[in-house]
Amino acid sequence: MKLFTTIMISFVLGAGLSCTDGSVDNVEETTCLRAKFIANYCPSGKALHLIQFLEPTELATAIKSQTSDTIRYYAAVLDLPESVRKPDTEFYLRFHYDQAEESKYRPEICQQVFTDVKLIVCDGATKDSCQTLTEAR
Amino acid sequence: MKQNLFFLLFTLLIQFGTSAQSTYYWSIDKRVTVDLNYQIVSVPYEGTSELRSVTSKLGLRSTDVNEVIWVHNKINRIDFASSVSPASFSEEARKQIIPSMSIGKQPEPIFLTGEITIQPNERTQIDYIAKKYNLTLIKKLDYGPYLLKVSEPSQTLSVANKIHENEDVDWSSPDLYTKTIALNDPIYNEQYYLRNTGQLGGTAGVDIKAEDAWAITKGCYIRVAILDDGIDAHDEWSNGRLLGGHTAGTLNTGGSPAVTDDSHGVACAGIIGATHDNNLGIKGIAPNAYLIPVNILRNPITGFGFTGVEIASAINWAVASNGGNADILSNSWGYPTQGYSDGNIQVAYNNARTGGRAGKGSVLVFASGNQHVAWSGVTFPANMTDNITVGAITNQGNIWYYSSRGPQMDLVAPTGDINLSGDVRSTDRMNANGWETGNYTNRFGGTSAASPQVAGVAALMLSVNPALTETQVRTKLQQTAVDMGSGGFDNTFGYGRLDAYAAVMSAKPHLYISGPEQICPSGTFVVENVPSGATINWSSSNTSILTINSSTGIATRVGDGNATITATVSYFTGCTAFSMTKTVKVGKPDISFTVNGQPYQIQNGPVCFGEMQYINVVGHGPLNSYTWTLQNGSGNLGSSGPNGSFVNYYIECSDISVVASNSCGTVNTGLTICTRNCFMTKFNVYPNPAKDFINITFEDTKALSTLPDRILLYNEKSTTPVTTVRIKDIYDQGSFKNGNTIELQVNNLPRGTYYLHILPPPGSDQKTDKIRIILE
Repeated sequence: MKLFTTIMISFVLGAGLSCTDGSVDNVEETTCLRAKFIANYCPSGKALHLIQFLEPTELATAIKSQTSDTIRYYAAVLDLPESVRKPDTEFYLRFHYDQAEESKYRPEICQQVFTDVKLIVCDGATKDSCQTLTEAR
Repeated sequence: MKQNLFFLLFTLLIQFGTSAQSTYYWSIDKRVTVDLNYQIVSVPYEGTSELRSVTSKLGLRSTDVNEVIWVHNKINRIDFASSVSPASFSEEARKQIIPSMSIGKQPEPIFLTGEITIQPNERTQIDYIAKKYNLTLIKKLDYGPYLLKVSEPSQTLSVANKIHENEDVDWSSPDLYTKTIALNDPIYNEQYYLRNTGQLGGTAGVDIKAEDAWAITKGCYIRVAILDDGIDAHDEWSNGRLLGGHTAGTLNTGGSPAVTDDSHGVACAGIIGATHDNNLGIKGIAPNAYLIPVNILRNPITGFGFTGVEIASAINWAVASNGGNADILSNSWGYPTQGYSDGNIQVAYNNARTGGRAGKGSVLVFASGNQHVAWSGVTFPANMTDNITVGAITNQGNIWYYSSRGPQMDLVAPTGDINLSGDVRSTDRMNANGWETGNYTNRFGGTSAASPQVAGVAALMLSVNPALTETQVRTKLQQTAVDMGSGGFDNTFGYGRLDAYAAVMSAKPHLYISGPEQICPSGTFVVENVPSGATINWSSSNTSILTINSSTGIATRVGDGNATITATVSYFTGCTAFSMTKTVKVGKPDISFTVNGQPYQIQNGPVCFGEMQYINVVGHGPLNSYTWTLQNGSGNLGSSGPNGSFVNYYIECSDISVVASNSCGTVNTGLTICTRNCFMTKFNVYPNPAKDFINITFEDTKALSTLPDRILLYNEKSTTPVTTVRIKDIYDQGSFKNGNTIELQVNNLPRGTYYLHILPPPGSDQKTDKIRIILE
């Protein structure tokens, strides 16, 4: 009974933290980084949201500030859960790059407040920590 | 009883100290009732930065004083902890402290500055009044009244009232200071792109000069379609300016946003058309323009984008006369893929540009794109030819790293960084919708925020001149841009930074009144260059001299004199209006003269004797006849209509009269032409009339060459001189009287009119001076 309860709790927790479609591909290649929600991104075949990573990553588009040495790292995310889609919300994002997905959903049209950024796929997002995401797996 | 009286006095004292005391001041002829407030008072500001020192100087207890505030360069405000009685003040405090005033229950204090103004009439003796009331005259103000300082500031109100009521003046009022009501837009100070004062780290002046343009227009009823991700209701356009819109594709949701967190269209709309002075948020560039939402970015069914055909159809709707009927299409969107193009969209835009606005062409404004971080060139559709492509500069005037550039560039405008890390203030979807939790965003930017600025300015331009074609708007925007980068056009900045004021001024039609300069008995006026659809209203400054039909511009003489006619040209049902005036002469001829082409004035100096003077009458309007007469003096006068000629061989002044007539009457006027010796040394003949002697005094007798040859005196009835003087003889003998004068004895001659001829040296081409002398 105790074992069953533990399994059930783990299952529920995992479902709550997973991304919208629940499917997790290439889990071996996932990365987890701290990020900040910016806004919904350009129209595409699937909802895309612009996030800014709060630490460097090659999987994001690096944009150097014109007025300082700051470099910001942006990415458009597929399957980002609604729980973190609020302006300036900081969270931990587990994600992976998927060339097929990028090719499929790269926006063809866009508001000119954005620029082209790399497209990634969300594997999980939480406000707690990357460890939480790992445990949830 | 005694106890009761004491109680009453005590009560009165309390009342005096705590309750408002009612009085009044005069504002010209209006008596304004006010309550005096001894809790908030003012004292004259004495230039010290140590504000609290005023309290000790006046002997006030520091515990009684809450705050001393320098509110104006003339006064300090003192807030007492509670209302105080002047009876408790020191003598100095009683002189210096002025209670504030309030009107009714309105809490905003009105301060007296210790100065008053007096508007004098023609009998006012300002020095007498100043002395009587112990006032110091500061200055006479440009607009008429005198400004005077009251010796005891606390008496300011009573002194002003006494002078107003008892002295021979037009009016007397205290100089007042109170906070002006600012129906402002609280975020406006941060909208550096409209007025850059150096806020947010910017460089002052790097803006689009919006304020100057607003003094001319605010974009009356120009229809701006915003092709974007949708616009919905907002406080900033709750005044009926958000028109019905359109959504591309099969489900027309009227141009509203498809998802709750889209807000890009709303941010663009705020820059273009947010309402002014509504005590909310921001100012738009064209706050009187209509906003037409056209959602071409996100499909309300799928949340995806639209196909090229769907977008092209929406563009067609935007400019169709039975659709959006838009004057301007604002496009802050594009395709990020290098080399992308879509023929359907291109055709739709070309049709809009050439066929919109009933053939004048809709103005197309595009953001150049933010792709310079990835590739060179302008994005599609901004890279189409003959539209207006707008890039991005920082608030310091540098090109943004991301701003797409190329030969299609037209203009740049100040904006913020991309990816919503910018600092452009604009509207956000209301409440929780959109990017922010509130109704405004402070992180807008990119070429998205630059392009709507041009769309807004185009609306201002069309509101002052709706007749402009698309090409004219585009060209004027280019021509009036502030050049940046390398001189002239370049691929980075295009023609330069958008200048709203210069663009509007260049768009404004050159309106002026043409018509007769003189009205007798009537005349017709027209305003030139009026855009079609405008109405003109005419008026006269003085209907006892001239009346004018308010719609036809036909003016009719009533009296004589000058009258100023005013034409007010209005379009957009009066939202845009320009007034112009012309002063005309009415009635009888009002003529002036030119002499040798120069305006004649009585002060004109004498002309050389023997020289022909050409006189012309400068009259206004048709004159029927002229009569020229030589009234006094010698000389030959010729005339032909308004043209005359006159020559005199004598040194004297001649009066010429001219009688000019038209059907309204006759005027008799004239001019005086005096002649002088222009050739030899100057001389003076006196006295004239003479009795015993005539003195001819020369200015300079040093050189014989500058002196005349001979002086001859003729009787008017004889051609034989009665006296002849050879100057050389006198010069050789050195016998000038007083070194410079020749004295002619005439007491032996018969009385009458004589002519003194002063002959130039032999061989000279100079002429003989002839002076008429009367012997009496």
